[in-house]
Amino acid sequence: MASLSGLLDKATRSALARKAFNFTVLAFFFGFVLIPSLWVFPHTLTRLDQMYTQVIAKPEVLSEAVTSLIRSVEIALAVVVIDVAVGVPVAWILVRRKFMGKEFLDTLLDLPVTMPTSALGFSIYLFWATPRKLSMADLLGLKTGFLSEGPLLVLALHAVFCLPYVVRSVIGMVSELDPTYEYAARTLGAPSFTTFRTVSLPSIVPGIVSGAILAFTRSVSETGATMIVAGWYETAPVYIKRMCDVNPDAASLVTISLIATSLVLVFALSALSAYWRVPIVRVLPSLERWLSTAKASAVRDFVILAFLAVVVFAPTFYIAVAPLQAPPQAQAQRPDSTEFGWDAFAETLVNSLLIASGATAVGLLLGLPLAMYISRRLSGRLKVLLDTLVNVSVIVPTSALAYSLYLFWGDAPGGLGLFEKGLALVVVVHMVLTFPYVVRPILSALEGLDPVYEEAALTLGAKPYTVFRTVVLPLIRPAILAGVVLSFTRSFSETGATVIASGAQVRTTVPVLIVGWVKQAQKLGDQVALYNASIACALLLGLSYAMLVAFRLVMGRVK
Amino acid sequence: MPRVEVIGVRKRFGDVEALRGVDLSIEDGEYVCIIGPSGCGKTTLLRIIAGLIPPDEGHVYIDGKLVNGVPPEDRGLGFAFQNIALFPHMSVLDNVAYGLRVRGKDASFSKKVAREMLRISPIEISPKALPRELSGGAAQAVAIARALATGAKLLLLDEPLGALDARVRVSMRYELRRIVKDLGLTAIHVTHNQAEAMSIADKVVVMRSGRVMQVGAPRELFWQPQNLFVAYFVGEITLLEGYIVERSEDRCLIELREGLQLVSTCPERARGDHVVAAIRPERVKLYASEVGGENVLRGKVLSARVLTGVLRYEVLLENGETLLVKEILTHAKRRVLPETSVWVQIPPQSILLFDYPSIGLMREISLE
Ligand SMILES: Nc1ncnc2c1ncn2[C@@H]1O[C@H](COP(=O)(O)OP(=O)(O)O)[C@@H](O)[C@H]1O
Ligand SMILES: [Mg+2]
Repeated sequence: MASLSGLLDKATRSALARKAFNFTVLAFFFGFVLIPSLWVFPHTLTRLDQMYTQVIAKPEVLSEAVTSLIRSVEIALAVVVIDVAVGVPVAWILVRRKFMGKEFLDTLLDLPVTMPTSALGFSIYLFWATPRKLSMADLLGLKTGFLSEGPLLVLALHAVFCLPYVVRSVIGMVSELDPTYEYAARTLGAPSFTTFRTVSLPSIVPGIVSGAILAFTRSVSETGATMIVAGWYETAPVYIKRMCDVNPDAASLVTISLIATSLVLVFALSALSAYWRVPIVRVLPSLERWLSTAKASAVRDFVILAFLAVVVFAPTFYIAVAPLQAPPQAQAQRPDSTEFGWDAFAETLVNSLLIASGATAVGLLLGLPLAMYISRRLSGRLKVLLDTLVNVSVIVPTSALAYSLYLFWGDAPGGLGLFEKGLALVVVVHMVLTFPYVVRPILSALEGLDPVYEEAALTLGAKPYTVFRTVVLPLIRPAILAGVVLSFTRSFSETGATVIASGAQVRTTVPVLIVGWVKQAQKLGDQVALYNASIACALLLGLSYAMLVAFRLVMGRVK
Repeated sequence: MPRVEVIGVRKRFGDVEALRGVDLSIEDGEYVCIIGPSGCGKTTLLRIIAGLIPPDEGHVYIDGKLVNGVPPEDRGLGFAFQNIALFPHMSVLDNVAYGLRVRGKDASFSKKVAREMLRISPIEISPKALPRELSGGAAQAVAIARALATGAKLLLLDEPLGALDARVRVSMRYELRRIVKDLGLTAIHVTHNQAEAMSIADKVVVMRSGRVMQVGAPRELFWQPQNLFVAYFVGEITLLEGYIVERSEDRCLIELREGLQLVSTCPERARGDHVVAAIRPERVKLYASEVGGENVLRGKVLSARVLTGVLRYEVLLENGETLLVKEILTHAKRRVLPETSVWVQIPPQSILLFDYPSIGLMREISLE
């Protein structure tokens, strides 16, 4: 170990070695992450005439594409509105209120992002949808479900798995708020509600915006779970999935539009939040005083927590109850396929865990140096540019990203022809989509770390690598861990991109297998497959919860 | 008009007892400073008076009315903070107008009053400026204008000058007093800077670990401290341990370490008492040659520093203890150089006698 450190020390002092290393890291970011993610743009430029003849000139194709796009954007905007309206008070309650079971609630809130979205989607589907076997309506003996397959069910699903992004992001801001500003407002005569509205809210707008951006891009890219709950209501990523073999140019058009919409929205929102100041408007003293009373605020908290319980947690946990019902008799029309066996479940679960760990390891190995490079070697515009590009790779909707990567690596015209759709492409997709999740928190931590510590170590005679190992690394350890957890859970739960990268294959990762099981069961009315899927999803719920608790323990120890 | 009365207030944060029974009474129109080491509970006391946190026990009266349970927005007071806390997303004018706006006053009226209020600032400030564009002194002036714009007659200030540069700090403190007196306010000003308190307060409250140690006018605290802690905390002082070996009608003889002796006036003490003699350096006289009289001791100058307005000496006495001496600095005065032999004279009536504390001298005066 000592000799390795010595070697690295020597290497970091050699300008040539350092250049070579920086080049590798940058080459990985641009060549493997960024350019392939956006490959759909140059790809389309070379095929403008096909795009015209195959899509633009065919009104029914075009209108189908545009409809899917509009649906996705509508759902995503509705999700943003709901999740901001619920997420901000939830974050406030979690930071400011003291109550029993707060820690537990805090942990639970991350469950919808840790759990594979297809498992979550299936659970939500069974909870709300039409009374078929295993469903909540069936369990209660109802004739009709609460929501039938379609837009409302898609909304009920997306609002759930996007909510944690808003809550986490706002919690980050609320816990950093300096209470003196609120004290100032209170002593100036503002009751607590007015104080929140005029002083605290404007300060947490950046957190709300970044949470809203994440929620938007996640909603707009979800495929697998949406396929389970959507029925006839085809959203853009589902359309891409269906079209990428049938009419690739239509898929490209929707992919491009999806990426462009997200980027435009993100930059517009960021610019807006930088310049727009929340106005005080008019204060209504008596109403706001009433809203500030302990009773009113207790009622508000209760309504919000009740909403969480009914709309978020009950549907998420329903899957743990569903398999308790009597298993159905085996049916004749059950397809004789290995894909429905438990060995497929075990295999894909192992795949999922391996891919999540591998992608995270690669991300860390290359992301840490990239973050160091951006934070410590770059300055001025170049730094802003690279920082923005890292953000861009978070914003690209994952389904669009997967399709783009397929165009880059796969056998589509102009592609490298290296991978078919399947497990290998899935691995590549996960390496790319998790990368920014590792880099982002590390980069923020480095930016927040006063370089004076590194300077002190250097003046004390430590060589660059030793400075990194003995000073920087220990100080940013919580951020590294946060990056690892984010990257791992993102990969483990990702369904949208994986479904697209898997093509016709179902035996890739476990979320994709679940989609396959459920779709098959829905199509054929196969009760056994449905029942098995519910057991598998319940297991995934348990596993996700265990992972969350484990991550929390480790994070707690590191802090 | 604002009189403030605090009775038996206690507050605990988990294991920390921040206030252990505080009684305090502040008259209308008084400028009161609260001083004490950091962590002694000054901020907590101020926040309890403001209603930002509730006391565990005890009562707070403002204008003779019990305000326990009254929210801060209804106590009609202004509060200024160490970190100033101008709302960063509002202009100077919007900040000052805030208190009126949240009471439902319309925007143009609020801004008119705010403009008027900004005149109290000794510095010209653009009403359109954003807080981040202001200097520290200007920002605190705006914050005080903001605190007073609602017509508050009670001003609470928590280390209001703590974030300012040294020079601005000094001139701002006189401005503060001027504003308070001009507008006929009552002010409670918390600071850990005793020079600040001594120079502007009508009345100073010395606190230590959650208790009030003494309340009095600045000169009272300085010349008649009621306990060793106040003696030590306010200004500089030399503390010498000794025993009373003889006493006559109104005088006694104190034997210090190594048999060195001092004469002191000493009411209410008996032979054999274990005491601490506290000597303000301002009362000691320093001579370059031997002089006659009571309490003339020989010594050697250890250090001689020229401060603003004073010469400060550390003199090594023959018993090995160090005595502080301060002389007014005048244009003609030459400082006595270190290593020089000198004679010091301590007037007997200037010596303050305290019982030797049972917990030991260092523990008694420690800032904890
Ligand atoms: N909100 C709080 N939670 C826990 N401890 C606190 C809190 N506020 C103050 N304390 C503790 O109470 C004691 C008194 O604090 P404070 O009133 O801020 O002191 P001062 O203003 O004199 O420096 C300190 O030990 C401090 O750590
Ligand atoms: Mg304080």
